[in-house]
Amino acid sequence: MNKVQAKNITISLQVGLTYYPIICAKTGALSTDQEEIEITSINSGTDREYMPGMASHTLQVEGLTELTNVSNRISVFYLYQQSVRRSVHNLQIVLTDEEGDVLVLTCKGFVRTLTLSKQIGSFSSSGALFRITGPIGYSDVVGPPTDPLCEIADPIYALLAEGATSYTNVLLQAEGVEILGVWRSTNLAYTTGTPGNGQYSFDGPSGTIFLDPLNPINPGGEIIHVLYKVIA
Amino acid sequence: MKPGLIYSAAWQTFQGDLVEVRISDRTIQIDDAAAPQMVVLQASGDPLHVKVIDNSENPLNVFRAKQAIFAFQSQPGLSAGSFADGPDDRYSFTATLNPTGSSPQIIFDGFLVTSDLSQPFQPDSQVVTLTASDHLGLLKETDVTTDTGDQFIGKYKLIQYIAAILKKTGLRLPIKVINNVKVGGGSITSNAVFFAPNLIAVTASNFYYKGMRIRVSGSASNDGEYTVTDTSVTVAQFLAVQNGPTITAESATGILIEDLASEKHLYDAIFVDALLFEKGIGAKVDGYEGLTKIFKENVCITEVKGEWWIYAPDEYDRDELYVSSFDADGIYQSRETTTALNKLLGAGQDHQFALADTELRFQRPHGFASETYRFEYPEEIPCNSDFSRGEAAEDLPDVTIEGITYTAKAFTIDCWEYAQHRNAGRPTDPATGNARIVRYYYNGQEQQRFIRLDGKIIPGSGGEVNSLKSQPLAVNKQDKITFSISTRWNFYDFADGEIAYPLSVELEADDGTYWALYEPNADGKGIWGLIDATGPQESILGPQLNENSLDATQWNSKNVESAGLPRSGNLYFYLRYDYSDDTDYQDFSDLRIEYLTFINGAYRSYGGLVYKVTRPLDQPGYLARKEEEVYMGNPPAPVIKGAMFIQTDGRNWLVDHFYKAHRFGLGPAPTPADVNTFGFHQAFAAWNQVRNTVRIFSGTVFGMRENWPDIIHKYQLTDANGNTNGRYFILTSLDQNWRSCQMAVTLIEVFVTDGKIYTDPYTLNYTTT
Repeated sequence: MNKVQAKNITISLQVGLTYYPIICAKTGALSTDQEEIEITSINSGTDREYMPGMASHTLQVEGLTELTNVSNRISVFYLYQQSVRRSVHNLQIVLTDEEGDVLVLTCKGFVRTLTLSKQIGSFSSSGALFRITGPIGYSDVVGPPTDPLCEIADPIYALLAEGATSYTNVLLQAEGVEILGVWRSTNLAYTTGTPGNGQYSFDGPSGTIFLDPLNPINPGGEIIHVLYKVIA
Repeated sequence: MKPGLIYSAAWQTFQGDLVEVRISDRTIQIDDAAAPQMVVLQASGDPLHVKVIDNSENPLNVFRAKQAIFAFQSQPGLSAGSFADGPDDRYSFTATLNPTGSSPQIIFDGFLVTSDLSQPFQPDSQVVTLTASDHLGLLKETDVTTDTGDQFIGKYKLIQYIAAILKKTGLRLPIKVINNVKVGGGSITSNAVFFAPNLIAVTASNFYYKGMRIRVSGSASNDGEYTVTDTSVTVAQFLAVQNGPTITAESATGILIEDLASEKHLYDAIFVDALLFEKGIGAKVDGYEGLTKIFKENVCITEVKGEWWIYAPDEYDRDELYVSSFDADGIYQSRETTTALNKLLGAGQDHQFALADTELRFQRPHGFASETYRFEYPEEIPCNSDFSRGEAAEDLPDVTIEGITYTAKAFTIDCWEYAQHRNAGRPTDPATGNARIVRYYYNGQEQQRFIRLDGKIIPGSGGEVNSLKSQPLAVNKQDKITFSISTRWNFYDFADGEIAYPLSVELEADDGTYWALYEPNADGKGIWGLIDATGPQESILGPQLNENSLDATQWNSKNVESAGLPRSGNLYFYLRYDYSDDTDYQDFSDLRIEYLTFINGAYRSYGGLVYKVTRPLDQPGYLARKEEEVYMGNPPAPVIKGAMFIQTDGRNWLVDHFYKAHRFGLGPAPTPADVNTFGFHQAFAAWNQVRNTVRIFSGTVFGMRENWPDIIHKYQLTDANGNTNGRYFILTSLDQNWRSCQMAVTLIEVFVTDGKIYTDPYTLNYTTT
């Protein structure tokens, strides 16, 4: 489970060679607005058609007001200064999930809006809205989700020859295979160790179901029915 | 050498291509091996638009000039003012797509236009807007002259005029042409009987015309190339030929006769006199008007990817396009057949309509289309007839006349040759004196101008005479001339009955005979007489002065109206140095010549030709009309401006045989009906654009990568609909946004798959106005 808690998101601005968190941030938001280009044609019927257009991004941070860049955090007053406010900066967003995996987003941006507010009874809060210029970079490519495996696989029906006491199938060798049921003339019960009458055991690495050796397949053969699932 | 200071900006388009703009200061030049100083500009959010300036929805509108509008962010030291000074060609502007890729494409090539630079008058950073032009519009401020600024005198190929005019834009670009009207009819298969020494009898056809150079193949003993000098039809069609193999008697069947003029591109085969561009004696129209005269109602011109494209919308149909290439100097390079200019526009294509703003409009079908070719006669007959052009030769002694002292200067005489001329056909020796334009000035202003001839020689048996010979004037049989001239001498001692003959007018006829104009007969008309080509120059016109006449040292005028010319050919005027023993010089002034063409049985009664195509009579109710004026054609008289010639064996021949080779895959004209005058093809090209209802689409198109849609492409709209199916379109306007890859366009239908018509009623009539 790789969920990210809000406290584990750091929004930073580069000063010199170092990234410093912006404000004592309580809230932050990265917004992307994707424009659309309508491509509805004469044959579009009753539904309009679109294609993606240009994207624009903003990054907003709000937190407690601090007069100076104490605790290695960027103060809003540092951002108010013209030389800082009118420059394009390197920005960074670091997200750490509960398993310790980290995703770093980098971009360039400049100050669009600065706010400083006062509310009696609480600390003063300040905020900064950055206009991001250009694309947002990712430290790692976030790949698409893998196709979910269908847990319950198609049942196997196999004709075992007279005297057989086991059945092997490569499908049962897959990692995560769990046997749900095995039938001969009757439902067999799973057991570990050597199966007795009405029992079976299963060896996953070899994909083999073992039957009661004292009760092999009857003359004329028997159909064995295996129901299994694969857990990813 | 190359520019040493370059301003550049680059950005990525929405579709991921790189665009780079370079503005080069051409006043700073460095060696090719040196590195220029590069100044980086910050492109604005909407950095570059390329748009057509003239958005006329007439598909035959000549100019599709373009401009590029570039925007960058100002900073200290870089603003609109950085580009505001200098001549019109100081800052070259080039926009390139994917400049560092394997196939960079020139989006636009031109020059900044100072009057279109702007920016808000506010602190930096502001959006500076620069506009660059391909300078087609600025051709209105240039003259139709040679590369060195000299006058075009005489006849030149159309491509020579075109190249010279286009180079006045300051851009030396290759020229691509999609226009496959060809001279002649290509080739024909015929039976032929060869008669020695110079006759070929062929199956009668309008394939043949005077002056054509043919290649005969398939005969037993008469294969080769010949020049046709006559095409008379009596019992059969007889071709009189010359400049070919010696003909031996033969009767042949199925021989192939090819018109060599058809193998050339139209612009490389057709010659037109430079007087087409006359705006008065010694002056020419501007380059913009010059191209209009050549291209009107036939082709359009634009710049695409660093090349001039001259294209005929009439050839944009379901067939391939044939593109001929010329270099910047007008030298023919090659021809290719291409489908690369075909474009599909629609949903799912590389280019599709966007923003749901496409509008469909219609242009109503017309009742007729007519092209009027007016007969305009040159003012300057012959070349430099007012003796205004010549180079400074020497300062002369001051002259005092009636108490006023004038400064005198002498000049050479352009276009006229001073030599010992005899009859045409006999050798000419250098003159023994000088012919000069003499100008008198008072307070720096010219007060008087005349020609002075000196260097008298005693005529020998060869009849040598110093005379000033004009350029030839092409004339037709039965045409007339009226002229007047004044002359004087410093002294002339007339004996009783002696007549001075200072003027000679001679005709070098097409049939090889020579004629001279003699004193008027009883009806007052100067008469033409056959002259001996081996005899002395005929001295035949003069003021008929004698010692009892007016003072020969004063100006005396001679006025003559000639009888109709006995033959077609070239006419020459000679100002002859006729003298007595004490004569030192002879002066001429005020030469005035009027040329009267004999057309359709009358002199100067007709104002032009009207080529007209109308809707069949069973289709009434169409009231719209297309009436245009054209400036080149096939008049009956060679002196008329815009007359089209071919040159064969060093001689100019009027030509009125053309065919639309595009219709036949550049093969020969299949039937005689396909060979017709140039005006015929112009009229039907115009008619086929307006005879049906025309669909017009306006809207936004998305999709501009390395093969972006442009003016020269042929479009099919693939969004299936009754208004698009089977139709082909061209762009008449565009506004390309080179950031968003969207362009505003107007598409006009030029072809529908039921084809074009060449059989609707066609008339060719003289107009009296």
